[in-house]
Amino acid sequence: MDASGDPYAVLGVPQTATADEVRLAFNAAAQRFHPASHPHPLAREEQSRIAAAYAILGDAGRRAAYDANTAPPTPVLRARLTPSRTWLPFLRETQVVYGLLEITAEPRFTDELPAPPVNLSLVIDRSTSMQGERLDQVKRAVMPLIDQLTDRDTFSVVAFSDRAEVVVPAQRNFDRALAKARISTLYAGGGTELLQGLISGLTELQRYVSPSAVNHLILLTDGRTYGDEADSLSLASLAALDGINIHGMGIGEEWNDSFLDDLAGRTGGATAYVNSAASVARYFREKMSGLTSSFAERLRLVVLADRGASAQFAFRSAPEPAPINLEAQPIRLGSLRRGNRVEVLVQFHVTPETTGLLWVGRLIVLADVLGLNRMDERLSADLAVTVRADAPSETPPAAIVEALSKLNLYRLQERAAAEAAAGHTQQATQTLERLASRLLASGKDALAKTALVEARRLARTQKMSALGQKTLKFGTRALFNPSDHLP
Amino acid sequence: VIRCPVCQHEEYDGTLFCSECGTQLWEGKAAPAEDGQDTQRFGADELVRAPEGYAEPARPEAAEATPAPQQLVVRVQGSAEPIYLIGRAEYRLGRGDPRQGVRPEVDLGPYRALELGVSRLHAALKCAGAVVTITDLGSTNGTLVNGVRLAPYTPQSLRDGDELRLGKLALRVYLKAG
Repeated sequence: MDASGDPYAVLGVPQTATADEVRLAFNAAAQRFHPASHPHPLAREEQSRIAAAYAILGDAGRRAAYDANTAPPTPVLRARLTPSRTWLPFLRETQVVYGLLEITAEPRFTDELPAPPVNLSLVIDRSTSMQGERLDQVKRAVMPLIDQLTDRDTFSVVAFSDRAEVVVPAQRNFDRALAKARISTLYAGGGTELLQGLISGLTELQRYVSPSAVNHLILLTDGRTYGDEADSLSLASLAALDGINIHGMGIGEEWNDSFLDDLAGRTGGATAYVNSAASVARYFREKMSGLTSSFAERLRLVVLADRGASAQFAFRSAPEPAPINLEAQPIRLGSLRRGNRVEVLVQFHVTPETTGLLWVGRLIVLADVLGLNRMDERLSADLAVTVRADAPSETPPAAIVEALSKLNLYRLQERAAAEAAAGHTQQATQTLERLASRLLASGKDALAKTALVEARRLARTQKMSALGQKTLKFGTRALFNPSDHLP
Repeated sequence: VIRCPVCQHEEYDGTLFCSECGTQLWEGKAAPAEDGQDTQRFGADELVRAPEGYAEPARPEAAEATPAPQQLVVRVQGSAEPIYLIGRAEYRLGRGDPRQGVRPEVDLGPYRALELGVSRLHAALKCAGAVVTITDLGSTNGTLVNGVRLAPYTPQSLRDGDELRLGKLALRVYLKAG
């Protein structure tokens, strides 16, 4: 039996717990997720797990039988949840608690596992604007990738403009020389109809889609698609249900970054911004090494706020920084690489009603651990604080401060872009200036300069440049990965 | 609710960075920029004692210390130069830290502010008509008026000749109708 069915884990008691301790734990847990106070369907599911666990552990005979017949579960993943504060002053007003969730692999499992098979589809925009150097850069960057694929991997390439064509059909053991020759003869011409490309790419991927494989689609585009954005987004949501990850790669300045973020985000993927030959090549290199070192795929997160609390905001700070849509649960978090971590920051609002222990929320993680063939591996972590009239002041943990100080810069940038788009020029200019001074204070002189240039441009022309806006957006995101460089 | 010391935006208690201007909203070792130094915290008993090497000067006559046209003057204890505060309704007192973008109107940096435990944004002087108030901005070591500690973020009106202590740094306020 896997950890998800372990009744001890569900009730949060050790195997040595007495009958009284089990009963108390059950009462507390059952109250937290009681359907009357918690209408969310996921809370009901949690409630039935708790009831099922108590049905076993609350009965001495069944508990003894369970203990005798069940080996203790061996967790393969770890979830650590750090709160920004452990004490809350007893004020009947809204207060903020942040939680930093880190998901890692149990170290003893990561060495012995073979690399998982990769099922990869590249969907390449070949519209007129890709002509010349841009398309050549992409072609050059794809060639080394083909050499890295093994015989167990499947690979396909789709090119699209007004319509889509399959350049390399999905297959194992494909003819590398032929694939390279086909890619090298790609030419640019036509419009950008992204939906066509996405449909063909997903169709190729579907032919070999497997729960034990890493199923990813990489979409490269340099332009805006018109009229088919909503359909593309719906298609991405469906692909996510099939366990497919979509990654966006935007080239140049014209592509729609919020659309691509939304598209990739629905599947747990991320968007990258590239504008040089070197960064295209690096992107593929890193993507490929990420795919072959995957430990768990299709990570899903459910955020259940307790009564009196609400989740306000969430952001994935690692491995690929990306905004999270809390409305679409489960939240898809993509892959966990070996020796790496997936990190999510969640901001809760709570209003204490009495002193004592205050539950803020439960974060539940589901993941497919490929090499061990453990699907829907489940982990959960709780966030709780103690409310006291004389709550001592405390210094927030360094990891939270670190993540929040970067998020702070990213959110200032988002704010400036939103204010500029809404025509609030003066406000946006001020926000950009504030961003610039914060960036300077953290030693990011080049980005600070970009923010100042855009502030002046905004004051003069009422608009930010697409290049400046993207540089700030992806530049502040890249601060989360110190090893990443700007394109 | 807490108030951002820089832009005055209100945030819920527990917020770590101002959503409006990005200012860090708590005192502590948050972003240890290489040359940005944190405010050292003193024990409560250390703060009531006069700092060593400081001879308490005789309280000057308010009339002779306040030049006629000015309304608000502060003088740091031990310094000969009065600081004239002209033209604003509000002055923040603190220890300037340009690397963190903190620039109080009255920068006490030159008066050994770091050593004496003055926070980056320590307190604010506000003039509303004839009334002048001082507000502690949630500083690490607190603000005292004539030896009485202020509750943070609670304005306290000042009279001519009042003594302020920001951490261990003492200064006197002189008021005169202009």
